[in-house]
Amino acid sequence: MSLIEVMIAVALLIIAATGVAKMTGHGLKLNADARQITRATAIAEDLLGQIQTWDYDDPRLANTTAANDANYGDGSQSFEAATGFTADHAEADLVLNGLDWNGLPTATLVRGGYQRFWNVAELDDTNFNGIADGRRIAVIVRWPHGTSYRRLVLYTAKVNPSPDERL
Amino acid sequence: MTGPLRRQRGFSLIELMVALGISVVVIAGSLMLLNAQRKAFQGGAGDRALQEAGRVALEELSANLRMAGYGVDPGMAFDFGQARSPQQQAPLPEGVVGVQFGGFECANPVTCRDQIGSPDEVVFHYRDPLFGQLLTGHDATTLVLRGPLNRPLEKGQILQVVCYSGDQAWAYVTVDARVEATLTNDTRVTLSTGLNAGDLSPIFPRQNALLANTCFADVSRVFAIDRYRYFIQTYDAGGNNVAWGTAGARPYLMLDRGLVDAAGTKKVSMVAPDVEDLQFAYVYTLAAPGTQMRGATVGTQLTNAPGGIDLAPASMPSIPAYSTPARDPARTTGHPSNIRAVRVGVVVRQALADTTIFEPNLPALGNRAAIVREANRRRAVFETSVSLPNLDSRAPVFPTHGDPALLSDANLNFGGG
Repeated sequence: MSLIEVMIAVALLIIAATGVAKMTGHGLKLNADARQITRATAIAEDLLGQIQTWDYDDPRLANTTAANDANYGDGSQSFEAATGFTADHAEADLVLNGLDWNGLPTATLVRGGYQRFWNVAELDDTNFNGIADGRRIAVIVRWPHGTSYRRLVLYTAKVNPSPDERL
Repeated sequence: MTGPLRRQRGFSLIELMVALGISVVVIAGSLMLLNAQRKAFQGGAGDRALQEAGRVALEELSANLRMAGYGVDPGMAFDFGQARSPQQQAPLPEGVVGVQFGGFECANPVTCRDQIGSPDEVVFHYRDPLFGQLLTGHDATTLVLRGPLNRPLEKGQILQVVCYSGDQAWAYVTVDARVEATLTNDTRVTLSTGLNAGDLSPIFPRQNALLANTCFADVSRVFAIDRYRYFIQTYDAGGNNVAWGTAGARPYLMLDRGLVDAAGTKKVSMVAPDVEDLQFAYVYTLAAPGTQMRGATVGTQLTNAPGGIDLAPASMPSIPAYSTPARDPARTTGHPSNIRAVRVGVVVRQALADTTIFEPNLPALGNRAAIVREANRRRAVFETSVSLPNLDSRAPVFPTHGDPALLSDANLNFGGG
């Protein structure tokens, strides 16, 4: 066996080992991704759980941007870009008008760079009286991923308690 | 005469040394790579197990907490220690006095559930939506249920007996001996008359005497009320229950349904491994601003008081029932029936120590400050909020029932509310 042969064998071994090492690194990255998604789900469920305790006419459930009603669940994935998205409500609105915020404190979201938003849409008016029968709500939680963001969306709805709007 | 010298075949010393040197480098590199791979695999597996335990713990707690109060009076949804029963406010049958509720595994109301230096626990109840039997006979210590019985009843199981005539009263009783699921028509259930395992004070809610109401002789049905007590228990390598925080021991999220086997041993089950801490905070959305969250201030333990969990509010009626208007002052107190959401937090740690991780603190959570604990463990905090729609319900707890002429079919008709 010549030195050339040995060197070729070593080179091949290094290439294979590099591949294996990259695979492991990728596995670890996927684990970290899974951890971020688990945490983001818990953050979104927390906001969802709190929204369910809010009254229907809570100012935090105002449909401030009717223009995004058709895309209130971010079907266009605009929240994955750093800018250029529209949200009805963001972090500051949790204590709108001095209301109590009883969910996860903002400080707990800092580690991991999580941001939370929620969109409200008033799409249903079955009796055509111009008043929505209820509100559809999409909670959007996003976190940094490279130069952009990843986001997940959870949905809930609130029925208008007015006797005129009950189905 | 000798022939021409032939060149020797083989490797020179230099070649051998170079080859050996390269081999050593390659083998050392391979071993290092192998070791790094092993560690990475172990770390990844530990990380995945940690996430799984966190998800399982949070999903189990969320799914069952969300049902709290279904089919029972709102005042009986949570058990923070022995207190007055909601029934105490209503006229009681003659001879029934001092009806008490709660106190399961609890010596000191409220502080038995909330800690600032160790894990919290929670106890709540809801009706099993899949269980409902007609009552065909009873006395003070026995119920006879129309079969078939679709699930066994363990000793310690709480039953709710509801009558559909007269006072439309309901009573709670506790099963005293296991009853097997059966296809037979009538099943006798023996009722407990003393203390059950875990009860330091009268049993839940010790209202056997209410069965004396004559309405139970008419159309009545029996439902199962399930109890959920979630807490942390720590086991050493020998499987012995040891103190929380014992080095080398493994903590688990546990569930105690308040049931005991034939030998009298409590039946508890493990929900998720490596759950090191469990913290609860309670949200009162109708309380005054600034006082709605209870149990989330670091270093402040919840107590049985107006600003905490108030088991005996001063207003009258002090315990809101289903019929209490939505904005009644009774709904603004700290009574557990006014809880509208629970903030749940767990700390999960990796099962095995990893010397590459130096993380000596159990991170602060709920009203517990950070605590120095075993290092070399990766830890993760999972926290969320669970709303309690059943405690906000204006509907009565009576399930509907069908035409008395079709009583056998009515077993399927117990959707509640």
